[in-house]
Amino acid sequence: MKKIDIHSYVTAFPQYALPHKDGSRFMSAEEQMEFQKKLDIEKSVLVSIISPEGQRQKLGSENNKHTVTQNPESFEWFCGIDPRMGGFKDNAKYDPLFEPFVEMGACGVGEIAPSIYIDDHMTENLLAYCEKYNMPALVRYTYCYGSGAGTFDDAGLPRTAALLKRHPELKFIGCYEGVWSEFKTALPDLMRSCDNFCIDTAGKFAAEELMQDVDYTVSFLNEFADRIYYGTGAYSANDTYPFELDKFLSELTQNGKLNVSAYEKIIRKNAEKLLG
Amino acid sequence: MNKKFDIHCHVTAFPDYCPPRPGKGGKDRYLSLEQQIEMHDSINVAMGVLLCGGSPERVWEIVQNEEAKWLADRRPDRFVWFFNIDPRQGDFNTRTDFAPIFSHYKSMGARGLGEISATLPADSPLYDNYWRQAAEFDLPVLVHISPWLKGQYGVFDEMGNTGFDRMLSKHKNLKIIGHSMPWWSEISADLRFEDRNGYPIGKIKEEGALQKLLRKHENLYCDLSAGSGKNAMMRDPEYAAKFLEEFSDRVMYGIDSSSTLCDFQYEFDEFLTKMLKDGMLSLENYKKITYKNAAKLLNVDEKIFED
Repeated sequence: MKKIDIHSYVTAFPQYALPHKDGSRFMSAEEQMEFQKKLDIEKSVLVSIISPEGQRQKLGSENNKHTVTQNPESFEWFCGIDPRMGGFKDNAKYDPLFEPFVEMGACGVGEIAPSIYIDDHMTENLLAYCEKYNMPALVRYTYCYGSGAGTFDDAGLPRTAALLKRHPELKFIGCYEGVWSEFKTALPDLMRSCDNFCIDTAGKFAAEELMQDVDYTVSFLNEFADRIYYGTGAYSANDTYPFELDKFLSELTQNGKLNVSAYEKIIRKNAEKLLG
Repeated sequence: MNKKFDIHCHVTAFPDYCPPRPGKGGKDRYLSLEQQIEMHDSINVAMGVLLCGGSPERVWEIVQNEEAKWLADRRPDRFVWFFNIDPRQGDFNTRTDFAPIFSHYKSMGARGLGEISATLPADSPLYDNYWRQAAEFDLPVLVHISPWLKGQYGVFDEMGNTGFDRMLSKHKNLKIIGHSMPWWSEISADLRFEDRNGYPIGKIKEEGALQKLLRKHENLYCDLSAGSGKNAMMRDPEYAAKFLEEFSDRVMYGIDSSSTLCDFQYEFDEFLTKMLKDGMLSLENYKKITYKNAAKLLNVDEKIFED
């Protein structure tokens, strides 16, 4: 079964792209399609990088829409909205952004990654619009203010839990270190208490957390299979962790530890349902 | 009449995908390259500086640095470009080394940074680190000022733009190009706090903090674009003549036509032309303001603008 990658990056301008610190760069559409082939991915969702904190460059909504228009068989896209847009205020009106983006085919909003608390009034206002427009919100977490790209919560993710209870119809996908650092602590309880809290597997940190303790991972994946999305989050074609994670998940399924139905949900079926 | 150099342009490489701005029935949209050229042709502008929108407080639509480069490469006879890095980018701390980033974009031909509008204090440690490196790379920085720390985009500064005063004193080689309402409203000493983000009217009876800053810092420049620059000059034409005479080396013409609906630039163009014709502005100063200052700052051949 081919996968759907809920979390990928493509630059429409690879010839000008700023190199990452290791000298690599974001993939072009062609490079991402090669990457897809190697990982047996049918389609990737292109996400935006809009918030400045901890990032070196931006990938705008228009960048993603352009790439999808050129390669509709291989990509879908999320639009990028930072909750400080629209006047840097708590009650910004986002209908004029959501309406055209929805009409243009955006399937969700993300990454939402401002370096403010997850329940800051501005962020909650944006998430309320995601809920209103039935647009999944892909939210990137870091550990705390100043620790890198992403929003953040207190230890145990209590603000996230409270926020999700206030927005029960919101489709929420948390990702990156601030979420996965709670893999063995708060994450299971949060997923049990909030039906609308989902996660994706993007990024090296998530892959490492998943591969560290096989028995725990199997139990977690089997229990929460309905709400885990496969994502690579590869910053460049040189990233190897997606292949390691892919091998890990495949082997778990082949040896019967991970239910086949759970595996299929995680790698594809959940995303199919989410993206319509 | 010579052609002009527009220090302040906003263009998108994706005009069909940029969401229109609210309130005008979908007609208020970012310009395409062709639309910007058409507008420039209508007002005798030979070249423009493509700016990038970088900070979330500012943008409704993102214009990536690579996008500006791509646009400028399509018409290098008509555009140069600036790139935009937010001081919170990189490692998001006061030790962020912007050198690899600045070096990359400068080596690709970027002539400066802008429009910088991250809503942090102008003299905050993050900005201090950022200005230092902009100066080291000899990158002029076009800034949009905000009078508040929330509810408005822009580099926050106090009345009198005292933060920029401190930063320009500290970073002697830093070149700042000031823009926006809180910038230009400081032209008059009777500025009230509540008017900083607006378009104060009336004669300028006593010079404001702006003039003092310009005299103190020889690397400080002014961008005449948008309603703010237009208002500052047109509110008191006689004072404008004095101002432009004294600071003729450091004021630069601009439009800031970020929308297909912009038309304020024609009235201001007529105003400048009238000042020239009436002898309130010398031809030499008119040339400096409309192209020579920008061409010198950004290393562009002046011949492009001359008849």
